[in-house]
Formats: sequence, structure tokens, C-alpha cells
Amino acid sequence: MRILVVEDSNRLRESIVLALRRSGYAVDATGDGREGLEMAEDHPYDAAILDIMLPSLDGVSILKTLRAAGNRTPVMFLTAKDAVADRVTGLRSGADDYLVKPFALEELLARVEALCRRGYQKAASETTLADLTLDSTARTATRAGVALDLTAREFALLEYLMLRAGQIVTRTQIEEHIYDDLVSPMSNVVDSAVCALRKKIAVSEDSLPLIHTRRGQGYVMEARPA
Amino acid sequence: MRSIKQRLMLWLLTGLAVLWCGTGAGIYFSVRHSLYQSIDTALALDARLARFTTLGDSDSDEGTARGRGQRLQDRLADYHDPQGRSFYQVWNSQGEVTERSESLGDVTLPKLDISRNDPVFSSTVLADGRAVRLMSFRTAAAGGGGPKGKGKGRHGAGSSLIALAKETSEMEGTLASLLGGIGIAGLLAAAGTFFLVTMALRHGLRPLKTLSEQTRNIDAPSLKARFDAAHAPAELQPIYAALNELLHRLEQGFERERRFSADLAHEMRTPVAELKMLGEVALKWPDQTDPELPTHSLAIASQLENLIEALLTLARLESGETALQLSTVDLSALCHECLQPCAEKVEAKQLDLRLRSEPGLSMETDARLLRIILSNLLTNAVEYAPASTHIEIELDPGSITIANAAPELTQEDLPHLFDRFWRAEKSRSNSAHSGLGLSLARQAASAIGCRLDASLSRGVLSFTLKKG
Repeated sequence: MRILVVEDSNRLRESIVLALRRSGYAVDATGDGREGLEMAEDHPYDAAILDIMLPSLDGVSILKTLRAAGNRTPVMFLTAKDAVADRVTGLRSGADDYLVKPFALEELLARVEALCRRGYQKAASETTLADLTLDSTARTATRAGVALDLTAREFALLEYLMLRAGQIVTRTQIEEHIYDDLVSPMSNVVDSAVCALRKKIAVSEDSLPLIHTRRGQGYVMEARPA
Repeated sequence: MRSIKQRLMLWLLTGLAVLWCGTGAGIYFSVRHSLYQSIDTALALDARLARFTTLGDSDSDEGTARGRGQRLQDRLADYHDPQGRSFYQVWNSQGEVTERSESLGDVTLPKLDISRNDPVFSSTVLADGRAVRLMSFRTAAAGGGGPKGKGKGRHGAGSSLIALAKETSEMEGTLASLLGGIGIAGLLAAAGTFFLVTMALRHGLRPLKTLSEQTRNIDAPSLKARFDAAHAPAELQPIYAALNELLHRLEQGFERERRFSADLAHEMRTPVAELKMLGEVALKWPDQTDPELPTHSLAIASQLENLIEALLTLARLESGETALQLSTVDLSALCHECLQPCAEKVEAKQLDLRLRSEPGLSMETDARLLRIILSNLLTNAVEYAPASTHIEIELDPGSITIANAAPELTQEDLPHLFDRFWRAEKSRSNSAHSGLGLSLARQAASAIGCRLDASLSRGVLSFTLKKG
């Protein structure tokens, strides 16, 4: 999951970015409104967190521009403005959520997770494919009752593939959603990550292979014999 | 008396009562006067007739005169009728009663002690209780006969005193019924007046009631409402206008306070959110704690401290609680002192500071407050002046001017410069400044009896601190 954070308070932005990265998200961040808009237009983010008061371009204008251009990225406003009128304006302008500062970290993470789910038309935090179960909230994955020991990035990759189960996922898409600008991946980083993940989810000899390679296209996750 | 209604009522009713009593009394006394006058005229006429018949009696050989005398005798017949209402009595020069009319019966007419020939009129009550109008006069020395006219009254030398009288009971009756009429009319008028005045006051004062009802409905959330003066009477128009103006000022004041509270909440929330996030992240991933955490926490705490300090100072200045501590302040030394904290920034932005001052120029004022003003103005100038420009500081006796280039500021921004939490840029990215500096400076200026004004010309923003 790749998130865009546009927040002009440096310290707050850094803390949010740190918390999201440690929770397994790929995060891009900026403190400038116009730059934030350009980033949102350039990358298909899974969710965006926007402050309302920003230098050069305010959050509401960014959102309106995005929605006018048909961008459906789920957006959450993060702001110190808490009047009902402000919340209504924010939500009416196309925001999916609204969080007032100061907020609890867990709430922020839960809301971001819900936003990401919304992008994949999922209602619950649990995703199941054959005997593999993934809990987005607890950030745990189990296969046939065995808990999988995954790194944050591996979990993010598995989550992304499972959310798009049955669909072909290209390497570029994986790069865009799992890796942020800071970790500019070489083309084989995705391949090796997928390879490592395959090994981890193959908990026993008779585990069904779930991640399949489509030559020249990418990967697809589905429960079928290889 | 506090009520307009009661006051008007009192005045109107008292005034009208006096007016009505006056009118009634006027009518009564003028009627009474004319009635007495007509009786007096009749008495005088009778007196003349009496004299005339006496003359006629002496020339009895003249038939025509006798006939005329007879008619006059008839005219005076009432004086001889025992039941008559006219009386006469004659005294000779010795004061003895010589003649009296039969109508007098047992009573006598009072003998007035008069010396002149002019008749004297008076009202009196006879011994039997009959009220009469009395005319007393003296005859010439030849003596005058009574209305009896038979020459009996001739006494030679000396003058007789004659008294003619007519009973006035009938007239008194008329006057009494007139008085009664006036009294009844007066009572009716009083009742009518009371009713009319009450109605008129109730109707006339209704706009005041409407106004008070409208006023009662006003509270803080409804300050946007204005009084509808369209149907108000002309006398209340100035009150309506004043009230609407007051509402306008109140609304502005409330709006300012509301904006201030919202801004304050915003100003406090961001640093609190920062602090909270730092703590929560550190708690959630304790093994990966950022070594910068204490530095960040401290910086946020200082920022909050500055904000609270500024707010408290502002509140104290606004409430006028600050007692001035006057001393002689060396202006250019104070300027240098205030510039000390931004020396690094001046260096980094390559700003050229131009301080113009007479040597040793000083000001008798509160040093602490003047420092607040100058340090805020100078920090602002250093903060917002574009790099490689200059800042002009001009110290004159009675005024201090600080000017710097402000290419992005517009004339529309000027009125907001001194608003609390106003910043040229709408976002709060520059957390080093609370946005309270200029409001603080202005309040401090008014506390030391000065005015702080801003002007913008050709992209140069100047702040001027002036006495008065």
C-alpha cells in the first residue's frame, strides 16, 4: 500500500511517515500543496492524507482538482479545524474521511487501513484465499493455522496481491504500491521479493502454490494447481 | 416616576383637570357676573323710574304724564306687593326710616353708611333668610321719594338714603344648577379624558413595547439579526439606528473573538498533535526510538510556551492590568539589543540594516513594553524581508519607523496585519512565529500611550510608532 502524506508541519509529517512506514506502508510525503497535487497526479496512491491549511495550495483545492480530473484515490483530511462546517466542507469536496488534530496514532493507522481497503472494495479487515488468511488490522497472516513470519514489506506485498486476487498484477504496479520514492527499486527487487514471499507462504509440502507468474505480464494470486 | 406612560398620564390628566376646572369656573363666574349686572341694571332703572314717577306725581294735572306714570306705577307694583320680590326703604337725613315697602314685611333693609351720590351695590341676606341684591343711594338735597311716588318722601333740606333691593334666590338657583351642570360635564369630561389618554398612550407607546420585545430576543447567536426600522415611528428611528449600529459592533466583536478562539485552537492543536505523535510512535516502536526525540519534544514545548506567554501578555495588555514602569530608554541601544536574537538570520539572508538616529536619543517610557514592540517589529522585518534587501530603522524624537521590502503584501492585507494569528501565508508552516507579534506590539504601544500604524507604498512596508 502506498500512501501520500501532505502536511506542512515538519515534525508531524515526519512522525506520520515514520509510523506508516513502520506499519508496512510505502509513503511519499511533502509539506507543499502544489507539490502534493503533482505527486498525487503522478502516482496511483492507495490513499492520501491531506492537511487543509498548506502553503501554495490548500488541501481542499488539491482534492477538488484531483476529483475533477477523475482521480478516485481515497483521501483523508488531517486538520486542526474541527468545526462541523469545516468537516462538512471537507467531506463534500470529495474526502472519504476527516481526522482532527490532535489524534491517536492507532486511530490514524486504522483509518488509513480502512481507506486502503475502500480502494479495493473490501468491507472487512480479513482476507482469505484458500487456506491463507490475512488480517490487515492485526497485520498477521496464517496459512493452514500456521502463523507466517513476514517482514512489513512482505506483508504489504502479500496484502496487495491478495486484495487484487484473481487479477494480473504487473511489476510496475507492485513497485508503485509497495515501494516509495526513498527505496527506488531495481527491476529484480520485485521478483526477489515475490520469490521470498512464495517460500514463506509455502508452509508445508502439500501447500498449494498461490502466487503464479504470468510470463511477460506479472503475477496473479489465485488458488489453482500450478 | 420611571414609567413614561405614568409620567405622561400624570401630566396630561393634571393639565387637563386644571384646564377643565378653569373653564368651568370661567363659565360660572362670567354667567354670575352678567346675572348680577342685569339685576343691578334693573335696580338702577327702577331707581330712575322711581325718581321719574315722583316727578310725574307732582305734575298731576298733566294727563299724558299721569298715564305714563300709571304705567310706571305698574312697573313698580312689585315693590308694593306684600309677596313681591322687590323692596325699598328710605331713611331721612336724620337716619329715621320714613318709608318702606310692604313686601319687606317685618324685616328691614340694611342701612349702608354712604355719603356720596353714587349708588352702591351689595349683596346681602335679610333677617328672614332671603338673599337680596341691594342698591343704596342718596337723593339730592331736595330729597327723593320712594318708588311709592306720592311725595311723602319730601323732607326739605338734607338728603335721604334710599335702598332698593331685589330678591336673588331665583338667580342663585340658576347659578346653582349651572354649577351642577358644569360639575357633571366636568366629571364626564374627566372620565372621557382618562379613557382617551389611556388609549392614546397605550397606542402611542406600542412601538416601544415592540422594540423591547425585539431587544429581548437578541442573544449571542442572533447578532446577525437587525432591527426592522421600516415601521418604527420617527422618534424611535435614532434609537433603532443606534441599536443596529451597536449590534453591528457586537457582531464584529463576537466574530473576532470566535475567530480568535478557532485560531487559538488551531495554533495549539498542531504542536499538541506533533507531541502526541512523537510519543505514540516512540511507544509503539520502542526499539527504534528516534535519537532526535528529546530535541523535538523540547522545541515543541518551547513553541507552546512562547504561544502561552504571548497570549498572557496580550490578555494583560488588553485588560489594561499592566502598571507602567517608566525609565529613560536609550533607543538605539534597545534596537541593537532587540536585533541580537536575529543576528544569524540577518547574516544568512544578507540583510542590510540601516539605523538612523541622533546620538544618544532616548525616550521616557516603559522599557519592557517598548522592547516587546521593537523586538516584534524587528523580528518581523528580518523574517519577511526578501534576501539581500535592506531594513531601515529611523529613530526620531517622538517617532520610530521600521521599514522593509514586502513585495508579496497587498493593500488588502494591511488592515489584517494586526489581527491575532493573521499571517501573510495562510498555512502555519512557520511554527517559529505565533502570529501574535503584531497584535502584541500594537497593544503594548497603546499601553505606553503610543500609536502603531502600518503603511505600504511601492512594496515597502513601514511600521511607525508615534506618541499620542
